[in-house]
Amino acid sequence: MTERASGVVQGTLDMLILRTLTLEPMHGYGIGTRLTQISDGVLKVNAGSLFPALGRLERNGLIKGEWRSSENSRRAKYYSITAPGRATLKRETRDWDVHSNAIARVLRASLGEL
Amino acid sequence: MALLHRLLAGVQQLLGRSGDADLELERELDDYLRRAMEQKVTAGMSPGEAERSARLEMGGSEQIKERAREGRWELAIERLSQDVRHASRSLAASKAFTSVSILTLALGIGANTAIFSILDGVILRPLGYPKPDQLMFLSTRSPAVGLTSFWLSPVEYFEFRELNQSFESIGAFHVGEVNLFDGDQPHRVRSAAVDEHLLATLGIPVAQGRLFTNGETNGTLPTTARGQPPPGTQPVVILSHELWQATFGGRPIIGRRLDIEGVSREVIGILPPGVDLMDHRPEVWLPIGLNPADRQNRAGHYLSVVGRLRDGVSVESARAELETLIDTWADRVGVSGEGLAGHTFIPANRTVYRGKRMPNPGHVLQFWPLKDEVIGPATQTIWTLQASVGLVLLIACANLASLFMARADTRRRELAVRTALGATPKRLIQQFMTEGLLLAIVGGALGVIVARTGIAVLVRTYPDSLPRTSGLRIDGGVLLFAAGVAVLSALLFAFAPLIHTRMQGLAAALREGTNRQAGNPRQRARACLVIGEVALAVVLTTAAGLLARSVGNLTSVDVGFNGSRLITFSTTLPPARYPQSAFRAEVYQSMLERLRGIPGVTSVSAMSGLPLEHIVQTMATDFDGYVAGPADPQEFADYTNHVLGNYFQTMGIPILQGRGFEPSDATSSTPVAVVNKTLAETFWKGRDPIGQRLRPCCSPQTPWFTVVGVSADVKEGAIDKKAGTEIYFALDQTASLGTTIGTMHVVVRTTAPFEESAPFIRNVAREIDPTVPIVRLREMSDVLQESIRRPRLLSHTVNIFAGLALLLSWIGTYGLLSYTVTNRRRELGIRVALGASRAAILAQILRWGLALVFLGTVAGVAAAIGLSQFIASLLFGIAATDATTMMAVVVGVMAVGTLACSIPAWRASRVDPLLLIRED
Repeated sequence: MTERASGVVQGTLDMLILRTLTLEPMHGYGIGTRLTQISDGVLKVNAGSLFPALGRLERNGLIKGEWRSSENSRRAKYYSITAPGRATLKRETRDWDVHSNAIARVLRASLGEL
Repeated sequence: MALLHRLLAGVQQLLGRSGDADLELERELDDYLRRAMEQKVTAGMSPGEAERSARLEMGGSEQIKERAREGRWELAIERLSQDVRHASRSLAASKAFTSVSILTLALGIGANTAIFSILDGVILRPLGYPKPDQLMFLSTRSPAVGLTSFWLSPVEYFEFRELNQSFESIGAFHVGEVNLFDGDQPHRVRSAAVDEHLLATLGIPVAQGRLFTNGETNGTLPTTARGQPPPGTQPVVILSHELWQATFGGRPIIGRRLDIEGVSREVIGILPPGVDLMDHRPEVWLPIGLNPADRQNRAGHYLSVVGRLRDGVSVESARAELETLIDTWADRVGVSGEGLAGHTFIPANRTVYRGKRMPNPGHVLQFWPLKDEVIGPATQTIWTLQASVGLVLLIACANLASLFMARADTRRRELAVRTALGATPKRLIQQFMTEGLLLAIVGGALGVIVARTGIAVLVRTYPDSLPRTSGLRIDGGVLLFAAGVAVLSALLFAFAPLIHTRMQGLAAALREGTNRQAGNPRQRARACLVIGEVALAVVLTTAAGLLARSVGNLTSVDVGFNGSRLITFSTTLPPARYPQSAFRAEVYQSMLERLRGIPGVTSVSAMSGLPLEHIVQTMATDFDGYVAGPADPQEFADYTNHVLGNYFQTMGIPILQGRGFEPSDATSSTPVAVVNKTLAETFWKGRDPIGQRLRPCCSPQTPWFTVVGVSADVKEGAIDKKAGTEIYFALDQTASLGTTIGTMHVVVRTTAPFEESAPFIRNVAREIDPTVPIVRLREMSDVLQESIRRPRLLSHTVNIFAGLALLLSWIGTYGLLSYTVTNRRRELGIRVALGASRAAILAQILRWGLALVFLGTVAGVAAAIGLSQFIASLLFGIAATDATTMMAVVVGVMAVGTLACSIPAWRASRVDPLLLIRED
């Protein structure tokens, strides 16, 4: 029963959620659609991955959930990123850059370089 | 930070504040679904279609919730409490199983905890002094007279104090009992006569008042013998906390005067609670009255000596120093005389000393840790107890393992259902373990109660049988042990059913359902457990049998006197109030006179040393006409006994030659003595002992005594020791020669029962002197019993354990066979239907069961023989591999086994095929 977001590299879902929340506080559904929009439909996050991840992030204190009324006076749980969350995101983004650059370099390396 | 968040969130969740994470998530998912639906409707779907599609995309909300829960640590606890609830329900459902298991565990863990608390309190716990490892017990050894651990003489003590460099401090003492009169009632209290160095050496502090000051414990007179503090010592006393509380109610007492042995002593101090000295638990501490200036009495050995090693000095280096000291002791202390005046330490390897050849040379000083001296030979007794009780627990665990396997079998259907409903094998195993642990915890808790009761009963039934038992308690360490044993046994028995089923195979095994077979691996494992149980039970029963027969042998030893209908007590006329030894003897005589008037009394006597409790004296004695050759015994008498009244007749000791004492001896001018057979044969071999002369230690003024009779040997020191050489004197004669005896042991032969005579005896004693208590009023047969109390304690306890072991293996064997028969009912029924005779079926089941028992017995006997060396030294008059005992054990265990097998076998033979067919 390993956890896997469809099309999302494992472990990066947390990062993506945090990134999405830097724009504005959002509810679960909003986060999911926003992720799909931004990635031009490449990344599809289903509820089965999203909510456990949200729960995990909240319990770790990286995001904070709050029930608020949304449009047409329905109540929804809005998540916002916390200071530790921002710090984590910053650190992870840096790590991600380093790693993805490195991987990209290896993959694009010419035959001679290999 | 993140961890803290998780922790707080988890605790909140556990406490049920907003029950809520789940509920909240549900609402969130609800919101998600509705938004997804709205989205789809906006995109042009019909509401019904939108909902179906949204639900499909989202997936089952239960699964999502479950996955969201996975990450929470409190889930483990929730599961645990779920498991515990489930386990309790399932245990409560099978009451018989649960009660048998808990009872078995309570007994097993309880017995182990009880014995461990003894092991802990007696052996493992350090002595209650600061830096106890530095404390050494000093004693002397003299191979020539067969003394392996004897006291020191004051002079030897003084000299060692002055010569050695290894010890920071050394102190001397001797323990005994004294009369204490509190103005109302006479008490006999345990005493320690000590010098001021002893308290400093042990590091005993004072709770109130003060300890002895410098020189306060010294005496001015020559120190002659073990006994009361000599006259001239300071009339002071220090009390134990316990005596102060019990006798004086904890009232202020410093500065008050107490009558101790007829001397009025000022109470100068009270010690803190629990102060002990060599397990003697002294109630009063008196100045010993040694005279450091007196270096005359070199050979009067009566001091116990304890030393504290300097910081950083090892036992080995202190021993090395001691050896060099002993090598040249005589020169160092400037002693050169012959005989007692020249008595000094001589190395044990020196075969020629001062020109004389010595066959058994040596008189050496030695030391070992004080704790070893205190615990002594009890160590082996206690370890034996612990080992036997450990075996009982093993058998109990084997039984429980077997029970658990059977239970796992009968629960297959339940387990299969739960597996089908999604329980993982891991989860099922967890539940097995939870059940085991739950049983172990309840059993362990009950076990601690069993242990408490057990210790109390043991200490009450066998008082003073083991050292240091006064302070036994179940403390944190013991509780930890009990918990450890409980958990370990739970692991042993609860995990056993799973061992032969590998993890991944478990589910499959569980899914087998109710299709049971007699020959399945679990049955085989249970059969092995039964064999093991029987083997362990055989080992334990053999030990129990050997120990019981040892006690039997000890009881049937001819002690040399007739102990039936003989009442004894001790009394001490304090020399301070009765300074004239002749007068003291007269008072004792008049006490005997009055005792004779008690209804039923036929004969009365008194003696200075009570048989079986007589402390070996090894008195230097001149035997006229005896010259010790190099290999001959030295001129020592092991015991001397000063007696009054018709001693030999009262005690029932036969006079083999000559005569016993007569009243006319008291006034006769010829000092007379009676010797025992061993002494006559040792020193006057081949000669007529009657008329021979002897002269006891230690001064030239002592007259020669003429031997008038030879008595049969009496076991003076202990039942399992040789009688030794003994000289009897008539106290009414020796008292006029100046012999002072502290305590006299009176024996009364009567035809009346003890309960009837006792009040009369107490009355007589009170009439003689109301300030003098009579102590240890008991029947002589009790003295005999008490002298073998440790072997009896060991034998009785191990026998109880063996009984428990037999019972448990009976249950184990019976359980396995019953279960097998139940399982094979169908097969047996078919065979009956096909014409098998009931006798054949009975024989088959019986054969199978007995084969197991037999295998176990064989293994057990082999193990018992292999282990025999460990018990050999605890036995008396029987070999550790005694064939009769082994045979008896084999027969006994086989009988128990047959009994266990025959009921299930009989049931098997009664199987009714028709009933079976109807059952399906």
